[in-house]
Amino acid sequence: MTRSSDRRVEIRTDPLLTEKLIYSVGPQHPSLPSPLELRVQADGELIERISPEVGYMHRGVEQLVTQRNYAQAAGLLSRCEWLAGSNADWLVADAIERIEGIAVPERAQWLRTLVLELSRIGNHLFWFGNLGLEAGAYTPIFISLRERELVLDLLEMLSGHRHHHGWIVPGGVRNEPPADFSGLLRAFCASFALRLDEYEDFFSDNAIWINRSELIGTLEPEFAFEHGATGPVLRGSGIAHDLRRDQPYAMYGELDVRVPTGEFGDVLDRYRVRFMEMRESLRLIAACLDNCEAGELRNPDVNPDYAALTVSRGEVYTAVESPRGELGLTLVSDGTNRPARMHLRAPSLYHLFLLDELCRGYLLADLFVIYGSLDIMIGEVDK
Amino acid sequence: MLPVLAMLQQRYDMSEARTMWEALRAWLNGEPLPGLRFSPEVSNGIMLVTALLFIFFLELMITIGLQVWERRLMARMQGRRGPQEYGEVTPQRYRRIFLQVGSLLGLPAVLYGLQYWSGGTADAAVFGTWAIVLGVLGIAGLVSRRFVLPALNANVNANAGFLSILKFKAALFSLLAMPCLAATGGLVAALLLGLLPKFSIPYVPQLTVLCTVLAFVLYMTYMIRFYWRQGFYDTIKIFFKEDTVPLNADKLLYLIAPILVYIPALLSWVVIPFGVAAVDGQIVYYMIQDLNVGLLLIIADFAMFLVAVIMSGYASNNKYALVGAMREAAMLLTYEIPMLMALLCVAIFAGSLNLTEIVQRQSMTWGILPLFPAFIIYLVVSLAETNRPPFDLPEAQNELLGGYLVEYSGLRFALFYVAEYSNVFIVSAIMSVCFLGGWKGPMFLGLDGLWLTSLFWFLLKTYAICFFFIWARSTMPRIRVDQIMFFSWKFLLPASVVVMAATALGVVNKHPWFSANQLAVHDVDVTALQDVTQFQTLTTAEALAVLTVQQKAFFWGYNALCLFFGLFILVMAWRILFVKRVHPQPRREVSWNA
Repeated sequence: MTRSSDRRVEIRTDPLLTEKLIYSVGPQHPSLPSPLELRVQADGELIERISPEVGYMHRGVEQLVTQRNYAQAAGLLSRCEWLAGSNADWLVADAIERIEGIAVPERAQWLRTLVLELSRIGNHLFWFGNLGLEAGAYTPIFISLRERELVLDLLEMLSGHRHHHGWIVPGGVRNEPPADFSGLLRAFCASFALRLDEYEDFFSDNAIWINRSELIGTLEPEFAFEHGATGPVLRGSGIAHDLRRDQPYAMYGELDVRVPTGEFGDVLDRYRVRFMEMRESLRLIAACLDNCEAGELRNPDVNPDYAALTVSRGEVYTAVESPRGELGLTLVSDGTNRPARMHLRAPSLYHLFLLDELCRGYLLADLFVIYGSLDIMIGEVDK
Repeated sequence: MLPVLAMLQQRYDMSEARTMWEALRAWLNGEPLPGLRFSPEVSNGIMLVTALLFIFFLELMITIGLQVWERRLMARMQGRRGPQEYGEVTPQRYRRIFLQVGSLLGLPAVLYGLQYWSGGTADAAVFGTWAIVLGVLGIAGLVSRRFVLPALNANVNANAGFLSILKFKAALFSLLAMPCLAATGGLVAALLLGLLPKFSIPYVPQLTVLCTVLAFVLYMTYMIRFYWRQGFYDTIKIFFKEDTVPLNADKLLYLIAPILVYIPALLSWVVIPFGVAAVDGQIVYYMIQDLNVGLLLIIADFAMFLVAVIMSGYASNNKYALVGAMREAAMLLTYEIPMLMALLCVAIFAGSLNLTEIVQRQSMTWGILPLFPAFIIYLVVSLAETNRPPFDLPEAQNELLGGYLVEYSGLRFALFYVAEYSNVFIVSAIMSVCFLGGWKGPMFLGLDGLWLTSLFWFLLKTYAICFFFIWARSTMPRIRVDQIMFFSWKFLLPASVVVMAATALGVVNKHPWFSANQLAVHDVDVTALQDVTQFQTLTTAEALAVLTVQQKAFFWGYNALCLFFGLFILVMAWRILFVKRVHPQPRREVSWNA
């Protein structure tokens, strides 16, 4: 018996039987850089329902951190959000500082703010290139990674690492920036403002892109709020909510953070909000550099050995306005050098489950543009 | 009507013209070499095999070259090094090869010039063209050395992107400046003074051929060594990949679909006229077969492509492939009608579907001038016709994972890709034949070098269109499928109908705007050929001077149509180049209370 005669064919009794197509997008798919499966039920190309299947990248980070010290926990958490890893460092350091009541020197606070804003630019650059690919344009990824490389070089100069910096530690920051750092950062800011104009000339005003994104994937502000959307996704829907302005942390209280919002909550609004955020970040970085005067880098009362640091019994929730939204951390400590429990509030998880509502009634091609506009990171979702 | 218009309607007698294969067949059967005579049956078989092998290798070479060029060009546009640029390519090396090839090509020019100065056999037109070409090159080089290159060197943005290509070219031109200016000065001085003694140099045509072949070999060796190597390796590698068939596929259709995609792509090469040569007083075209329905054959080939793609999408038993095939079907059905309308304009204008005749009709004015709207329509449609971005919906890499290609591997996958790039070249060739005058251009090597100059102009125009294809790919996002439909049915189709009606009206009324070109071949000095009548020729401008009122009214009406498309392009260019756009900035928002 040959192989071809062995195969089973489902016999349909009804010759006019039609079925809904169910596409299984992922977990290996060029548009999804990280493993995620989207079960898309569609009538031809018209999307009727999407159910995201998560868990392909589950590493059990929340359990793993309970068996490791705080330095290692911060490293593991930054592996959940690798495009802007300093946010996780800041969360762990801030949670410890809150429990222990540690004061952070002003200079260290300015430097922390600077690094957070720089990683925001780096993340948004990667998002821009990726969104271009989702929309079928091949060039944005190359021109945006060209500038992201400079951002990574600057962060590497500062901390010795390109992605998981571990530069923000309890009580301050790890080391003094190199002597030529601020000059190079200013040069980068000057050239990057021009580069942003170049991106917008190249892509934002493109008629095809406007057609692909205008009034596509509209998100109502009430719906967004009820479903826990934060960050650019919420601001794109017209709600001016930003932790940097509303619950100022680090040195954002001293800075006048302007919060851009969208009008219709569509892909184009989220796109524009992120571009305006990059311009705003540039302004904030310049302000940080101006205010960053000589002073202490680290509180001398804190144990300089991060791995041996013990945290007294307590529980705290702290949140940071990460490039994707409100990234929160609940830390329960039990007086040892290991956390008793940690929970990461990942904005991507909330945004991922908006996808069903956003894509319903749009075409298959729109799914990828909408997915790109949400800027979802599976490392955060699966943890 | 005036005798001028009557003259305009006369046709150039091309009964003496042959394709190179007919000439070869005549030579194989012919009288001059009795020892090598074949029987007609044998020679026909040999001709068939030779022709098939010829187009196969030609297609392979050109498609590989096109892919490699595309990768390099996109890498430059995107400001990265690209996979093809190895470390060995230095400016010194490039300069050396450039000077070698340039001097090999310049030697015949100098010899022709010497002959002319001495009153030898070279004619004035050749000499004059050389002087003009060298002078223009020299002035362009001087301008780029003095103004363009310093400006680009000072510009930070010129290190990457489109400006970097310009910078590279400007550097090359500035290299050329001084030698060209010196040569022009010498030519003009010699012309004015007439001081040189008269002499004639033997074997100049043969030397021209030798130098050209040498330069070509040198250049190709360089290109293969430093740029094309990866392309050849990829081609060889893909022959050894496993050829898989999905389990529940419709096996027969699945296996023959790539062949059915490839055969039309191969067939279209039969009728493309690459150039023209004058051999023993006869005109010989570089094409396999000079079909009277050449244009129709190419249109039919594109329709075949659609059938094969649907076949592959259906037979793969894959949802993505099926959706890709359905998109392809919808898109091609939408775009074939405007494409046909645009090509019908050409057929009406030229009065023929024969591609060589279409080229000969454009002796005085290229078709792009009278048929400008049709050209724009075809330019847009050809992108969709070849599945190139921004119309690459059927194989959308990041939506449908390659669409109908998703299940194919190995050689069958390669057949799809060779067919796609082959189609790009064919569409560009059609555009240069129908709208840009095919091989027409200043024939600066005279009758002896006609074979080379005609090829040069044809390939230059074709690759200019290919450049447009690559440029569009690196610039545009992908259009959505319903937007494509709306654009075609609501804009392109009505526009193409109007354009075709206007063209037909103009041709039927014998309007000089459309019929000024129906005259003798311009590129061949026809007095040198025997038994060929030479007609008086008029440029479009001269012919327009003799218009009736009705014709003038039609002329301006049609020009308004041209103006619409022209203004569209001008406004786009103006917006892109000069308009300083204000980008949205963050503004202060009221606090939100929930």
